[in-house]
Amino acid sequence: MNILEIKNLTKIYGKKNANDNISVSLENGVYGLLGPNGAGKTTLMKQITTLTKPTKGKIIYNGKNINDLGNNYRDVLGYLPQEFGVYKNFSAKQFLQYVAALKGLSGQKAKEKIDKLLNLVGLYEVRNKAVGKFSGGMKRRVGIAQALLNDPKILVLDEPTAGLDPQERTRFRNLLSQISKDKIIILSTHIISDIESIAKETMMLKNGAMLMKGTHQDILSSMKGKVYSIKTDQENEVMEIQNRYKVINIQRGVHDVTLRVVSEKMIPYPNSEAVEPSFEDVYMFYFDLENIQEV
Amino acid sequence: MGTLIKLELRKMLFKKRVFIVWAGALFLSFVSIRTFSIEETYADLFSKGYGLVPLMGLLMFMVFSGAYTLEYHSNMAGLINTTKNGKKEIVSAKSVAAGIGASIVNLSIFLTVCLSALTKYQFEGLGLPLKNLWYFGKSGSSITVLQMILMMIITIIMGSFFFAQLGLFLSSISQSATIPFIFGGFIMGLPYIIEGFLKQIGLATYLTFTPLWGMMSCQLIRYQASAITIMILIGIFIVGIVFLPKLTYKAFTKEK
Repeated sequence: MNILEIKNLTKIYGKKNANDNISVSLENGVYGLLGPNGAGKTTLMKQITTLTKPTKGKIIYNGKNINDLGNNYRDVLGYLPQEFGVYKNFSAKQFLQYVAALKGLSGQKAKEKIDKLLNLVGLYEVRNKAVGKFSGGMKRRVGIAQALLNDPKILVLDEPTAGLDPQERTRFRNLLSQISKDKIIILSTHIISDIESIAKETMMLKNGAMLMKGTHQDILSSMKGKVYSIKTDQENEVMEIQNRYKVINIQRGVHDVTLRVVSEKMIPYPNSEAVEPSFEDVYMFYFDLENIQEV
Repeated sequence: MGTLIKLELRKMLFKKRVFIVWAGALFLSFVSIRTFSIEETYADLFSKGYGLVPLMGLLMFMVFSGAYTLEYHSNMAGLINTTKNGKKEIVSAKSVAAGIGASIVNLSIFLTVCLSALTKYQFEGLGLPLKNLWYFGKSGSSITVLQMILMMIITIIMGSFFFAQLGLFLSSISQSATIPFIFGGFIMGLPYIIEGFLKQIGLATYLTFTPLWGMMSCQLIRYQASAITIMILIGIFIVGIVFLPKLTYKAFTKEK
């Protein structure tokens, strides 16, 4: 069992608290990390991956401070950064050889692991092709493969499915579910359905602080009775609802419009009914809605 | 470490623009030697060998100016620093690879000049003393042409490693490859640029203390550098090769 304990973690840049007194304990499994841009997700991941040191607090892996563990900790760490530019003049195989060497893998062991991972991410057939000629999704798959090279016990993935098509995303989710049994996986993404489908728990960050952490059930139950569906055929009513409430979705049908609304209070419209909350509702409720999705 | 060095070398050298400039430099190196008398042609070998320094500098700094800025821009720096050997070995691997890369580039240019000159006389006259060549006329040196070529091969390798560490350090502290390219090129090329001026005022011998002249050791013989000067130069090379990677390591692993 791997245990990663984050204790009173604070990171201050100038006058800004990028992370503010975060405390959380993680065990094997997939943890979703949710929050809008600037919520402090990347700073938290940078501290977990030892790229930056906390201003206050500490991170403990299996009872030892990760800064004291140094390379022994990095030996069990896998990391996929958000923007990840692979070397254009390397083939996929050469790139993985390079990262394997950085991770201390060599010889036959490295070769076998690289071939296995290239197969796993579906790039074996194009392993000798220059990465510069790969599509965005293929490059992302190379990134995923490199993160898994050392069979990490802690895997930190920053937007791993960005640029992947639905088929690739499904394959990636299945892969994560398969490997999560004996490792801690921290998955930061804006694609809520990814977290919904594979994370055992979700951590929500806002303004650098931990807003909530819990299972899907815990998080969704906190939203029960706060999500409504309103049907109307009056265009002025649509405008009015938009002005008064947090509208998550507007679906235009042939004769009417259905609005999905989050509200602490009961909605006083005749054709409104409380509906089961989804993760997207939670996200929209806690993080200010900037763009209404109109279908 | 071997895999890292090999792949770093590939990363630095295997670029279309490097190959194009390199091919052009080799062509110029070959055609720059003309057929005169054997003494004139062999003097031309060293004169042109030194004269092609700007091309060596251009190629060298093309090779390693982007060595670290590429990692910063591609976000690979973060990935590298989260790996077990990343912090420990990447700077060493880059240092060795850049040194080897620069040596290959510089030696290929110098040896092409040598080949062009020596083939004109079927490799005869290698035992000619340098004092017979106009380029070394006033030095009175009894070192032979062959000895000078061998000496230059060694010093070009040493100088290449030194300038590689300088270029890598500048790259590690820069956000753009242009800065190490310009500054590195300037530091390397300054003695070449001001030689004429210093010669006029009788101070050219001070240039024997510069890494460029240490690398192109024909200049040391030409200007009769003393044994102490050579010892100082060796010291500069050692200090550069040992300490610049330490500064590079600090810059690369610094929290950003």
